[in-house]
Amino acid sequence: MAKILIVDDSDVIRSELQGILVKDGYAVTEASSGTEGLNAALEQGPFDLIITDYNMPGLNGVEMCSKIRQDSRFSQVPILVLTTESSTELRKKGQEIGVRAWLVKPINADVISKVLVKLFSTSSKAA
Amino acid sequence: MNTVNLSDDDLRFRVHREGEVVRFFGCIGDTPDLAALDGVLTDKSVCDLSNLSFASWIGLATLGSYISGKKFHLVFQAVPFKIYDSMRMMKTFEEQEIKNAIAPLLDANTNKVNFKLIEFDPLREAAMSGEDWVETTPGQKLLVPARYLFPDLRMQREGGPILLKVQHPQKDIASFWIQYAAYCNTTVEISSVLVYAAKFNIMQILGEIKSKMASGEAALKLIDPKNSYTLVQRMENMIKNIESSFDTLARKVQTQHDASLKTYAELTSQSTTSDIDGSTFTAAMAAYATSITEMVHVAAGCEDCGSAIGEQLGSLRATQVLKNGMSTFTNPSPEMLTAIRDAFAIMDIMSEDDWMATRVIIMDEIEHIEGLIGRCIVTLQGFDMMRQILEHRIQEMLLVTELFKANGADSLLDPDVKEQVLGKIGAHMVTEQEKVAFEFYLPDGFARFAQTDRKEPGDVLLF
Repeated sequence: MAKILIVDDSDVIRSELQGILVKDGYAVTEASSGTEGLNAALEQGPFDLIITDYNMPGLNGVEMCSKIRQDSRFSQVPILVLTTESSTELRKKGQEIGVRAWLVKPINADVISKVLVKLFSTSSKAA
Repeated sequence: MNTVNLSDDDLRFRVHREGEVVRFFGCIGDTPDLAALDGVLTDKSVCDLSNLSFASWIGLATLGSYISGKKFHLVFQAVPFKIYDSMRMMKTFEEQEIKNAIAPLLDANTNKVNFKLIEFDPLREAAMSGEDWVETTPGQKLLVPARYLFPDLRMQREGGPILLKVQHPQKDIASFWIQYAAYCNTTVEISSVLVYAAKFNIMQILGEIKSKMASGEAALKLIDPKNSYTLVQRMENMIKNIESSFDTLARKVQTQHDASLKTYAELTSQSTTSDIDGSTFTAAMAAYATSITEMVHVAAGCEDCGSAIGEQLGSLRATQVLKNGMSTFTNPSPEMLTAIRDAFAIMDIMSEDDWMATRVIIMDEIEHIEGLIGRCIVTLQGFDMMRQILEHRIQEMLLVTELFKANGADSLLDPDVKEQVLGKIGAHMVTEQEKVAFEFYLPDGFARFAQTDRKEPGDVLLF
């Protein structure tokens, strides 16, 4: 069962995401801020995928992932940013640390499921 | 108001939730992406606005509609006064609780205006008991009469004259000048926010256009390496020129606004000093009026700045170059496709390996640039609104200064002058901001002089 870390400061979004992911057969760990997400990754990892919001207290999603990437266990883990932000500038920041996919909220369960299938199939091919 | 000179990340509107507190960051422009609040803001949330650098009138109205649409009852804390100045006049915020705000206080010893966090509960009690001038701590007087802090206290706003200690039989008229000065001060503050709103909106849009153009130019250089493209360079030059135009205007606004705030503070100070006679009070009013009439240079600057920016935006015709380059290109190699997608930072995983699907996304990006340029042009209306608001106040204040010069201090205590000023406000009222401020500060005058039904079909009440 693939392990996914979801990081979002909104309880509502985390709960909605968890519902979709558990239904699709994934094991989920939640964190409510960038700092909590970093700690969860380092202490409870490795994970097969990280789904993160961009705007969060402390570290933003990309800053958090940049720190997570410094740990060799996470150098290849796919990252999906799920956010209300869509600016080119922020996407480029994500690109620099190897964000694999960027989805703009609101959450669409069908899209999330399809993107995850594609992410896992392409990342396993790459491996 | 401090000038807004912030980095891109300081400007970007965003919210973070920490326990029950939702912290707002950045700036709320005219088209805020309030989807950022979905799932973060809930009923009874405490919203901390201390890190919100500024909010435009339209942006705040949009936020108010969002909150009332969700039927949320929220608590706002640490609201910067330049934001509260607008917020308190918007009906959509009437149901919301304001715990405290960062408000202007006049220091009796130094006669300077400082901004400090003040709790609203004691102020509400003061307002309800008819106490208009509140000292939050000894020697620190709130510059705004307490009755004007709470949108729901209509009875108090429509009630008797503001308590003055002026030794003059015409206290009602003196009270009117204080009310009118508060109205004037707010509309001038709101008009200066329009400059920052325009700067914020336009600079944010231009930044996004530049990023998209940089992506497009990088992609064009990949598919047509022999050609030289200068889109980004042109864009950078334009941004520099536009920013400089804004900064020149912002400096003018700041200087003049500071000067008028000083004379307004002096006027409020005179009104609460017990041994002042009527003529000293009216002299302070005339000095305030003079400081407003001197804004004539700012009003002219608005017009110049708006047209200079409009001209530069009009010369931006880069999207056609991008469209032509991308639409004629076919069959990229997988490596080229990846490189083009990287150039545009396309992270839609479902379209990777597919040029046609990728091109659709790129064309959407280019269309988006055109939409952004159109939004910039619309935003320039803010300059015209600012000019109009200032010109209206200048015309009213010219009446005051001319009367004072011609007939002396007592002429301002003639009830007929009050009627003339109210008549001018009612006749000039074309912006939404002036309309709501008139009703808020001078409800009696609004009821008698607001020509709310004088518009012709198709006329627009400007925001």
